[in-house]
Amino acid sequence: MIEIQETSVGGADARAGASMNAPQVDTWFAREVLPLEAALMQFLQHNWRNKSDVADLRQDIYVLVYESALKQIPDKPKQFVFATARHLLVDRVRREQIVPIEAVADLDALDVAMDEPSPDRQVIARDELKHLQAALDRLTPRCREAVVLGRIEGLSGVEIAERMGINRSTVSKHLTDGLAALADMIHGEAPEGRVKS
Amino acid sequence: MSGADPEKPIVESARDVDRQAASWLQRQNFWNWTTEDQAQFTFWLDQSTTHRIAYVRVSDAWNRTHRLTILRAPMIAREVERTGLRIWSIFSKAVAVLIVIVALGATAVIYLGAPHEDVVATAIGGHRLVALQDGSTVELGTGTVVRISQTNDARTVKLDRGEAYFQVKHDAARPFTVTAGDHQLTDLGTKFIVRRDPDRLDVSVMEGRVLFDTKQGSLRQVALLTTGDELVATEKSITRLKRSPQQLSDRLAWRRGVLVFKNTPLIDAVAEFNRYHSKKLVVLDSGAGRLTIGGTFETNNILAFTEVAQDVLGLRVVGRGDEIVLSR
Repeated sequence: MIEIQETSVGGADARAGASMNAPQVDTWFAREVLPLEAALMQFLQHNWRNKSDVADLRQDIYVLVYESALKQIPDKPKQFVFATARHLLVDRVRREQIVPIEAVADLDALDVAMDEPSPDRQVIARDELKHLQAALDRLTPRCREAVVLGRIEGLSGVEIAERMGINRSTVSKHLTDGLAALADMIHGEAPEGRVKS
Repeated sequence: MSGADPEKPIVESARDVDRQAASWLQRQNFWNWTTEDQAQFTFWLDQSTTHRIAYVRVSDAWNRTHRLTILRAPMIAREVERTGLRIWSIFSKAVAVLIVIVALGATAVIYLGAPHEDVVATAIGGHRLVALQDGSTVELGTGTVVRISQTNDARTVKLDRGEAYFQVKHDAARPFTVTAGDHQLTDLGTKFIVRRDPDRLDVSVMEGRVLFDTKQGSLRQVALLTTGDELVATEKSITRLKRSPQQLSDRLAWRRGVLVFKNTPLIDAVAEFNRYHSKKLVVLDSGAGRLTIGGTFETNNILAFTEVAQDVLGLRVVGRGDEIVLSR
């Protein structure tokens, strides 16, 4: 009755070419775009001199991709994301004339990134546990403790506060730091100095 | 960011937005969540696409850390008492591992809102009870999205995907309807469950009556369903079956966090189980798929299920990246 293949792609509700509502685009975005983040960040870091702009560039690219997916789901997500990134960088160079032209190192080399074979999902998944564990280990000790108590032991915020002997707003702060840092590390970006509490 | 250009709207840095999203997510998962919080959250979420994307991004990362709980299960396993819930299993080994590890925090319940329409969603493995002002309840199962709108003369729930159990306070002046694609159900005083899969709609009536109304192309069909009726609509056909009270109760087992199998082909049991996990079980050969399995399994405990496959059915269980492969 229900085919395994079907379920393993998460319901396959966001089909290429179709017009989607926001929750469907959310699902599509998480499934197709977020896994590209590591490659995208690498690309941005490589092609944009001012490293502190990179997170904001990523945000802008995500908005462009997301909003265009609301109209139509692109059928080649990877190519679409990198084409969008490329256009955005070219556009920035043109508009912000303050940025010297050599800020963008090798835009034409971008085709390399697009022609790369799709990441082998199997390999990625196999490494994911290790990756997750490593991400967790890189949180500061208190932050990590709060996340472990909440995520793995299933304690509530109030219980975490009691267990750690700290007040609730501090727990809240640790959890926020932890979640934000985990999101960066899990999606592939891991600059030093980001993982502090 | 230079921020020197007065023409540009105020731009929040990506870092700020990511932190805001993380803050909302931890508030939803770890602290008391009020309707006021929900209203503020919805307002924040609708403020800009950057907010929404940041929330999707941090939720996705959070959902992935779910895998850590599986990894650590044997070490931190502890029995969690659940009042009113007894777990039966014909396999003692399964019982030993039937331990609740994933707490409610694991369920990144995503509340998303639009004007006059409350969007409520659960992640894979999620479970959420929504109480409406009129006393009706909508209970969401795994991977479910519903949109609820309430006006003075109508109550409407759109089931975008997944499964939901409805206990409706009947009010003829304010009909309660559930729509799922081209199909529509109107409550006539009742409790019923609706499950929407990509290619199939399944409705079971636990109590009372429901009016089923569908249009397939230009053809419109109407059926009155009563207690014990199960209706299955696919693109090709609509079938009505009669179910025993026990079968109906098994259909609702997910509300207690379990799945009940009785002589269920492995391939079907696996498909059911997979609805609750991002880590998927795969049955390699069709011979193995036809073996039958029985018992009550916690939806969040993949280990118990694979141990039964291994010890009782004699299958080989091999973790392969994102999948757990069962084969002879």
